[in-house]
Amino acid sequence: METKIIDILNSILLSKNKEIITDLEEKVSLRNDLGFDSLDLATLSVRIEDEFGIDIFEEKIIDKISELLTILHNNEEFLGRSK
Amino acid sequence: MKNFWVDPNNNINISYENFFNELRSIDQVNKIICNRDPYRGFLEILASLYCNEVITILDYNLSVTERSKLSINKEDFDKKIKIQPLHIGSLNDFIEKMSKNSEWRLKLYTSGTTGIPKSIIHDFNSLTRNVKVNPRYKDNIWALLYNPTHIAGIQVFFQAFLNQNTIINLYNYELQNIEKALISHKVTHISATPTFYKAILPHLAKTNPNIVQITSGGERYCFDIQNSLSVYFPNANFKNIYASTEACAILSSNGEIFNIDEALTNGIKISENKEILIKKYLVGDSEKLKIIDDWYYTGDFVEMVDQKRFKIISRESDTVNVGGYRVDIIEIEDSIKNIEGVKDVQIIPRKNSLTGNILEARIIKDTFLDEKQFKQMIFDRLFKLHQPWKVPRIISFVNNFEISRTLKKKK
Repeated sequence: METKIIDILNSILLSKNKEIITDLEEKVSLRNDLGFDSLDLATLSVRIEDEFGIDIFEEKIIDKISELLTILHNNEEFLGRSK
Repeated sequence: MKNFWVDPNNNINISYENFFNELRSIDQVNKIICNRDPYRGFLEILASLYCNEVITILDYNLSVTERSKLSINKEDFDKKIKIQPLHIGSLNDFIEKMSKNSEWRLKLYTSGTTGIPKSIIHDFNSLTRNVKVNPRYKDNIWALLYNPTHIAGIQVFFQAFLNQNTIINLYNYELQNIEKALISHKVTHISATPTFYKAILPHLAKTNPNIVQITSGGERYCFDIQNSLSVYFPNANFKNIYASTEACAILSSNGEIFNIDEALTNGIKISENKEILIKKYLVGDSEKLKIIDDWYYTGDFVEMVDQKRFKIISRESDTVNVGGYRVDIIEIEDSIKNIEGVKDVQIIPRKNSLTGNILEARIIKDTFLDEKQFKQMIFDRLFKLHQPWKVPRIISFVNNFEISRTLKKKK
């Protein structure tokens, strides 16, 4: 799952000619550290929903990689079914 | 015995005689129809119409989130309307009775791009305004290609049924099998959106002389698609319908230029800023329509060719809300098509809870460039040409297009 998330984040970074990441650091902020604007976050949400069937912004707007991972881990049972 | 309904996918053939027998034996209809069986759906529409009962049809593609936003109680889904046995004599008597049933209403909920389903209420007259009934149409054979829970699908049904034509149900049929089905069932009339025609084109290989009419509607007309289709359907007459869920089919033409019919001059006009306005009596009932001084503002804009004639240059249905900005999908498709190596492109709005939509570009490529490199080149070009919200944030390379811009969400 982590590799897939890195791929998705990198595809967004690459589309805007930004430096890619090699691993998932929990403290990283999507907005402040990766420079994601609302359209990038929307893209992330669509790509993750395509991949895992989960809307990461359904309950609240998240910003940290740790929050993203928490949502996905909390839905692991569901992920198992969708994969 | 003439068939009313042919469903090649499920190997079903139902004659008009059996259809009427089934209609006569119906003793209840669902208050809300949202099943995936269009035959049963049409049967219930007619039964409710005959009995003057109001029913609701839900687009069965509505997502769970969209369904949760409907103003319908959960228990209404189980409600049945008991009806008296239908005493159907001739088709003419049946139609006459239906057209007099002024209380009947059809409430439709269809999936929109905003995430909130659109609701619209129509009566029999507005639904069948553009239906032409004539003995010379008796041998027409229609392919149903529209979603049967959308207004266009229901209109195809009425056009065929009121002329006692056979309907070949090809909705959701595999694209690669549609050509074969059109030929083997001797279909003469097809009606669909330009998006559908664009998706079917790569799957056409044979000349089909049976098709005599190809109707296009619901989106901006595309002359290129007509040219490509005419190669495979040499006997087809092309008809462009200006239609919407709100106003049903209202204008028609043989190309991209429309002329307001004499009979409708009091019902349609072009505003000073070139927007199409339709008089309230011609549109369905809905709280969400923008109506000022009895005129419905369609959000569709035209370019005048002369004092009376115009062509549509922008349609509300071709625009998508991305983070509060209206983006014209056709403008972005045209822009991507100009990039060397792009054979064709389809823009699909992707819903999300943050910006409403973002755009995805599905591209059929015609280049030996590495996909990663090519994608980067397209992004670079688009970010230079357009504002950030207009740039498709997802680019995928495909061999086929979707038949509708409304994608089904993963459950």
